[in-house]
Amino acid sequence: MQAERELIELSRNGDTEAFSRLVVRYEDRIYRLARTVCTGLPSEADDVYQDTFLTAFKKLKAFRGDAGLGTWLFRIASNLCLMRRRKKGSEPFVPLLDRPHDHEDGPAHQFRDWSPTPEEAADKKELALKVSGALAKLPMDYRLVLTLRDVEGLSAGETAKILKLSVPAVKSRLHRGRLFLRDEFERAFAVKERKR
Amino acid sequence: MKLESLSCRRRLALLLDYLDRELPSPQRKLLVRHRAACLSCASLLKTLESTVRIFKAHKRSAKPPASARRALRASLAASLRSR
Repeated sequence: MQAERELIELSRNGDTEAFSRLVVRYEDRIYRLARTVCTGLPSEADDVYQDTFLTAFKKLKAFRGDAGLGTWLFRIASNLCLMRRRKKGSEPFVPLLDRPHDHEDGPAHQFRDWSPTPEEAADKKELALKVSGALAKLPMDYRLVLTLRDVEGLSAGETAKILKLSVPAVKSRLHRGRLFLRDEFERAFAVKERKR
Repeated sequence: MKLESLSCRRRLALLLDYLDRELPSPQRKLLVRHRAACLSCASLLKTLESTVRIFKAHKRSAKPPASARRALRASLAASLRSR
């Protein structure tokens, strides 16, 4: 496999063939991020995917290589997602701080157990709808952190660099986001339980 | 330190750090013991693990559609021509 640094150098000089090889290495991950974070029409994810690589191709001369190319591409894609959200001007309002289990005083919240039944787990389409529905209720900053950490498996430090946040801010969003999804899933699976 | 005496928020923070394997060994051991004895915390941890697993599996197979790939290649070629 051709070294990434060599491909970057060739791409900087306008070699689209070399750049296409870089695209092949990263496009699935970039598209997955866009598809998970942009919860609107699928065309939004297509646009973010394309614009990420076009922007990277245009700005490759400015890429210093301090972080890996993947980190840089994730940063471009994340910024494009956030820019689209700003243009839209709407964002779900989630009272994340006002959850029953997130308070300083008072008795500890009792958490219930749940898990998808084998049938629910096998129904991938229905499961995907539940996950997409829950994700769409979260603000984009949270979706970005959750995706970079839990889907892409990046560290808190890498995620912080990509999103230009502090590590504690990443952890806070991650924890709140996971708890939010957990509660949404509990509700989704509990509803099915009642129907049985 | 006794987990039972912690506020809900503080206990949650510890549980979430435990999930990410970011707790120092003594606290981790304490959590493992607590998990075995506390139904609510055990349920929270188990369901958080399920949440992460479900979320991870959600977009694993997402691939850019052929039309988007073609459009990107065409835009890259056009971008080069306009240089």
